[in-house]
Amino acid sequence: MPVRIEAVCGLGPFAAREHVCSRDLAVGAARRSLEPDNHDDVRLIVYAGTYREEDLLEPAVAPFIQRELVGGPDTGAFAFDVDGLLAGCELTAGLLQSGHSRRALIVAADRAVAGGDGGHPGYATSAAALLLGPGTNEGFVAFNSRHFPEHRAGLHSLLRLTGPGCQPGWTITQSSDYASACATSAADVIHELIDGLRGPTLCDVLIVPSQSPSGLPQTLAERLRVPADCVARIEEGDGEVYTAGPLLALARAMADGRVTAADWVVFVTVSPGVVVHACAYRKPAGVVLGSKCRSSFSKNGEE
Amino acid sequence: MADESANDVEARSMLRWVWSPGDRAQQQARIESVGVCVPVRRTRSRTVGGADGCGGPVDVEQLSGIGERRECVDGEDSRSLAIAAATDCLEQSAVAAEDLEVLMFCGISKTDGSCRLYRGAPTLAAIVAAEIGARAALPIDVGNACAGMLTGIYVLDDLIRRGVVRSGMVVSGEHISPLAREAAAHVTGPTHPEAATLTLGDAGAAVILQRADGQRDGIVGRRFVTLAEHAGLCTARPRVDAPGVRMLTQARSIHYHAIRATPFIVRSALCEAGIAFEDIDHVVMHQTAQIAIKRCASWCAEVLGSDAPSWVVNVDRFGNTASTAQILALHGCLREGSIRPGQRVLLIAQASGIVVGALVVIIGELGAGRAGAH
Repeated sequence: MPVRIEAVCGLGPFAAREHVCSRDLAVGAARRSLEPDNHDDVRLIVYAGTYREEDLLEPAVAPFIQRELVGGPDTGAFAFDVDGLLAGCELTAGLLQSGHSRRALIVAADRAVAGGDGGHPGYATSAAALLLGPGTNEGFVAFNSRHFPEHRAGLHSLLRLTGPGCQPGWTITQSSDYASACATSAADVIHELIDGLRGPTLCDVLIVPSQSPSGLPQTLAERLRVPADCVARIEEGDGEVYTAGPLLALARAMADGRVTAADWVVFVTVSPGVVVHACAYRKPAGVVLGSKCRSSFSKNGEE
Repeated sequence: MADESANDVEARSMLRWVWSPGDRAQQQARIESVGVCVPVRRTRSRTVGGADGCGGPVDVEQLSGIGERRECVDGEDSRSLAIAAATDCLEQSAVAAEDLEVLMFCGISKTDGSCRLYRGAPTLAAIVAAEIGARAALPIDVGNACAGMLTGIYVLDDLIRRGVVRSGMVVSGEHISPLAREAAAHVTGPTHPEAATLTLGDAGAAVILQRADGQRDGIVGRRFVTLAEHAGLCTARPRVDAPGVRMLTQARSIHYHAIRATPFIVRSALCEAGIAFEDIDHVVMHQTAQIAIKRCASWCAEVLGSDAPSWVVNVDRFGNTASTAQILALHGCLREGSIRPGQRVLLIAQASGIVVGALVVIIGELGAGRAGAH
């Protein structure tokens, strides 16, 4: 059974000075992805994010989202956190195939984080939600990933618990060659994925990548030697969009018709380490990721 | 793609397929190796507080049954504990690091270099994978509070059962004793919201799961739920008034709700396994306090109708080691021979969230690996 995307909702980005609560934003994105049907068969909720509201260490964030959406005791739902959007998608799609739930929510959200003394621009507050459910002729097909530890020094983020005035604070350091290494690594993994599929070519594919580090979509298009509009991106603002980046870019590409026109969507996330995770999603051309799929990407949630 | 069999598709690339033609036979996942790392430094429980109206001083040993805990010293942290546990696990395994296809770090604490530094990126999974040479492994950080490792086992079991991967490691390193040290300065009595923090100890643990390939041992039942209406009963976040992390717990409430739900979750996992509670040889539940284990055993016996022969207790020697607790206890039993191949073990998760989970595991011959028996 294929697992398909039934709804996408992206909210943000918001700069740190706007003081938007990422958990509220995550719940808002999740709630909008469930409307108007208010699916009551969501028994799996996965939060995919790195920078949590109030830097919460325990419990997982997913139970708080579950509490707001899947109310009442004894629902039988299960919730947990995964660091990384496509890791969350891969594990969740598998659990759906195993019958854990008929539908599942993946919520990617991060709070705004200043770069600290490391010179990094920091991250903006953003959130996005994916509603996954059973498909027939569209869905996730295959995942591919590679770890490039030779680039592990490229980006580090550390939460210091002894900051000025005892306030906790993040320090993010990024090397000058990190963005280039990310683009090259991502291109390698996409090529492997496309080759492994033995069907589509890069010309048939809309690529939906991480929006961090800054400039990655454009550099990735250059590495892959594809037109820039074959790689979805959002406009850069104050702070990079971290985990939710691909979904905000997807929502934008859905709005301008590029998703509808494509036979294949290839998602690719690049995270420090460097870890590249890619995924091929097959859909009939002319279909917008499922008949109920909606997207929103503006700050106030307007379509 | 439609003309190819699932095996053909898998043979032509290393991609992990989620939508492949044909049905693949379900595979069973087995525990292949278990490794741990506990700091050498031992700390005896002591009495703290008693200054105001929170019920008088806290005698941690009397309250929880915890005589001592392990604490990291300078140079030890979540990262080093996880790496050492992963290394211990590999030394007793037939699976080489480079053959691991997934590596999940499932700890709560992510200290790196100091108890005052928490890592955001790279993930601890990526760091551990790089350190132990698991170059082919997809590194993933999975978080679910004290249910982290059992959640990791649950999702890795799913990947193996669907034939997506053959083997993987679930690892954690919990460096949480600094919370206990800092709480000792604040706790005024047993009802103080930081009193439960006094029970925390440090440990690392790792498990390798692999495809059972016809062997009868393995994970045969599983069930996890989140009682999200109680999500706020135990929270940990950085202090804003001082360095460090503060964990606030409504201990009685969280124990009550977690224990109350446990036998029903266990029943569901046993149902999948096709066995009765009385068929279980050992129960290894989350280790918070001896009294909590006794209450849970009593309630399970009442609901499920029989006593399981053995409820494992190691909280007296290690305290509450968060996500590593069950695997640390399992490792101890395997090492001393009280859990043996062929026996049925019930692993129970109870965690803030509230998460309650159960895994029914038939233990096989561990230690078939390079360094001899466990």
